[in-house]
Amino acid sequence: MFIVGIGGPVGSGKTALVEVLVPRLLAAGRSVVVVTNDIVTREDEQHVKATLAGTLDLARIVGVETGACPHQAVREDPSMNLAALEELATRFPGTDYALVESGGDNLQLTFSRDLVDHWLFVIDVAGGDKIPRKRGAGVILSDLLVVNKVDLAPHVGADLGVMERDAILVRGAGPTLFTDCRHGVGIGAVVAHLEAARTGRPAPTRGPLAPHIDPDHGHLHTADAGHV
Amino acid sequence: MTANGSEPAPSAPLALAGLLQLMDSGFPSGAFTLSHGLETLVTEGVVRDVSGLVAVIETQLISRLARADLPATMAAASDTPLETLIRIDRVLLATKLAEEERTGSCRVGRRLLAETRQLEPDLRLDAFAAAVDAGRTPGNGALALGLAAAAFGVAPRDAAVGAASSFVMGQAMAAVRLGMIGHRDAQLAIRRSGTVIVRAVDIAERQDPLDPRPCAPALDVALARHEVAGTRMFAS
Ligand SMILES: Nc1nc2c(ncn2[C@@H]2O[C@H](COP(=O)(O)OP(=O)(O)O)[C@@H](O)[C@H]2O)c(=O)[nH]1
Ligand SMILES: [Mg+2]
Repeated sequence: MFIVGIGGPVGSGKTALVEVLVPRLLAAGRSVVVVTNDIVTREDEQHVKATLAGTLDLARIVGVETGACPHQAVREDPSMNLAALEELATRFPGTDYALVESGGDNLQLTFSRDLVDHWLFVIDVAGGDKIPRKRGAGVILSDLLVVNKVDLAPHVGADLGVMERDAILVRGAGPTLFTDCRHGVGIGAVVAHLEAARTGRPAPTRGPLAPHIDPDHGHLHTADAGHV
Repeated sequence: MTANGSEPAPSAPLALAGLLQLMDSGFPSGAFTLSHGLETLVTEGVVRDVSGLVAVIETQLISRLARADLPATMAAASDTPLETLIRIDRVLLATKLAEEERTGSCRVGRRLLAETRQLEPDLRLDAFAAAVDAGRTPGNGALALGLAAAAFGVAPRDAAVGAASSFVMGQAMAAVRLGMIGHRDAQLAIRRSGTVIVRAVDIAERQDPLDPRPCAPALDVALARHEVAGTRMFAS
């Protein structure tokens, strides 16, 4: 079971990403389980279950309470997530992916490498195009930075070119992908990235699957969905 | 002082350091996700201040832990045979009326076993963990803690003091995260609970772990109500 952490600030689109990733992974013939970490309620667990009803066996979706400490639950003491993953692995042997959505946190969030094999950090353009250069540990150290809600960029005056440039600046060779989870844009590249990571192949993030920002128009091109 | 008047053997300094590691809030047992009913008592306005918190802690320690979990910890930290530990473990689980207490206790137990076995090779830990994996015994946190303490060379009574202290600190931290008290009152609550910890361990020493008798109906109700509560920062 390849365990993928998904972190990022509250509202950046972590749940939305899980909800669009799962059908894509299933379509690619992969089996999936999901662990959500809610902060106060079971909101995320219920949202994921409602969205994926009919797509994924709901017993494969488990919520974990984090005692008001979402970062502790994926970093210093990921016990309850490990326990949930162990239980899922026992119930659903041979599962390819476990997606662990962290409770919303700040830009400093990191995942314990003893909990996850790989982790994504999701930010969104509406949080401001200066987020990458704020250099949070999540932005810098994550295995994949996902910049979500690119559909909103024109409405909030976010410059995707600036975000990509700053991401490269602070992340070096670390990959960054742009998505619009609401309309399912850019998700194919995330799936390709995860498949590469899971199978140990080199990630195709700087290759043809990478999103490309048209410098003249600020438009986003992605391999699976063309023009945004 | 024990019943026969002799001082129990204290833990060696290295063992004491090990005990502090096990009981530290940073030790990855997942215990910080459990409030043991406190979340419900606070959100429903039953507990409002530091004296209310100290009263809850006293009930938890004297009426519940001293008569059930702590004797199990001490038995596990002594050289109790595996088959007896399994009987203690099963009967302890049966005293936990609320589902979330049972699930929480066993999750913590499994994590404690897994993490401690990485740190200290120990045949009793291995045997108990194998019984848990085989579904022969539930693996409550109280027993895992006792076995872990013994693997670190900690004396049974010290293991119980550690378990009770760690529980008290967990309750105080939960109260802070629930926004009920500030950091200073939290430390006050812990300090004021010191004598209760000692009393609880004294009671636990005389309690038969095979015949646990916890009785805290108000807490059981709070724990049961938590299962349907809208606000759930904690897993119990
Ligand atoms: N326009 C737009 N809205 C999005 C996108 N992704 C998520 N959202 C919305 O943003 C809000 C927060 O998303 P959610 O996935 O719950 O964020 P989380 O807190 O990170 O899990 C929800 O109302 C989503 O519908 C996106 O790509 N574009
Ligand atoms: Mg979410």
